[in-house]
Amino acid sequence: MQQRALVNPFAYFAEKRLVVVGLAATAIGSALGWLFNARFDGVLDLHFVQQLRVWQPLLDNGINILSLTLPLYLFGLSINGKTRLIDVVAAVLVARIPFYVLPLANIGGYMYGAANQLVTGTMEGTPVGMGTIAANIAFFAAAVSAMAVFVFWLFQGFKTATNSKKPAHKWIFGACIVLSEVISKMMLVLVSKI
Amino acid sequence: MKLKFPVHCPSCSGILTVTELTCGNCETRVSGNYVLPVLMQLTAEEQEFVLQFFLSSGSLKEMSAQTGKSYPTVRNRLDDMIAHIRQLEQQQKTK
Repeated sequence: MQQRALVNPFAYFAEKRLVVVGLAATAIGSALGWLFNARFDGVLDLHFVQQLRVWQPLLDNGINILSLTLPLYLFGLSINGKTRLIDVVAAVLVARIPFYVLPLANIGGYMYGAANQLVTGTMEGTPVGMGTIAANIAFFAAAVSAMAVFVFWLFQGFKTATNSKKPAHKWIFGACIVLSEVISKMMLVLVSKI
Repeated sequence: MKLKFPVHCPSCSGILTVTELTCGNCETRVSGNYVLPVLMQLTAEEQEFVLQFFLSSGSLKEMSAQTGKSYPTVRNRLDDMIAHIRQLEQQQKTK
């Protein structure tokens, strides 16, 4: 049961509990983002910056959650009229949890420095230390793993919320994530101008 | 041991029919070819689901709490069963 619940928590836990856990994780993730200078600037993005304001990671996450929920809910309704908004919201909130661990890689500004060293070294042709390369590779692997778990959980949640069965739904689901990424980027640009 | 009531043919998986009924009291036998009611044609798990649904007064929320499964999971199961029952009814009409 525990293993199955980890693979598809949406099949076993009540939506309210999932939403509470997801919201708590969003708050903790945003706090970690602020502490370790990480911006969640897009549904599939995370970048380390030199400085940021306390509300920025929280706003990023709010925009990301909204950008994912809207297209997925509308698509869910087109598959199954009984799709509930709360189930889609729960799926989005829980699926984003893996991203919230990533800011820990920038404790003491380590990853920001390592990424900058790699970029500067590559641009200027100066030698880059093995430690820097290893740190960048390790972070890349962690980010890809987080993204894989995110997509997997989001799909499990979406499938449970909509009872989707057709193979074509998987492709449209993928397109919805890409659309969400575009929407979130546009919203972040708009918000930054305000 | 609780014997499982066979619904599907073990050879071709087709739906079985009743050809003989026996009175447990006087052993009178009735022969014929009776199609099983739709509810009897459901699998044992589906019949169990129907029973649970009935016992929880048709409340999916209560059922989800009792079975330890989420509400959409239980609702999806019900939707799948409705589709299955409609398919069985359609098959009976065409026969």
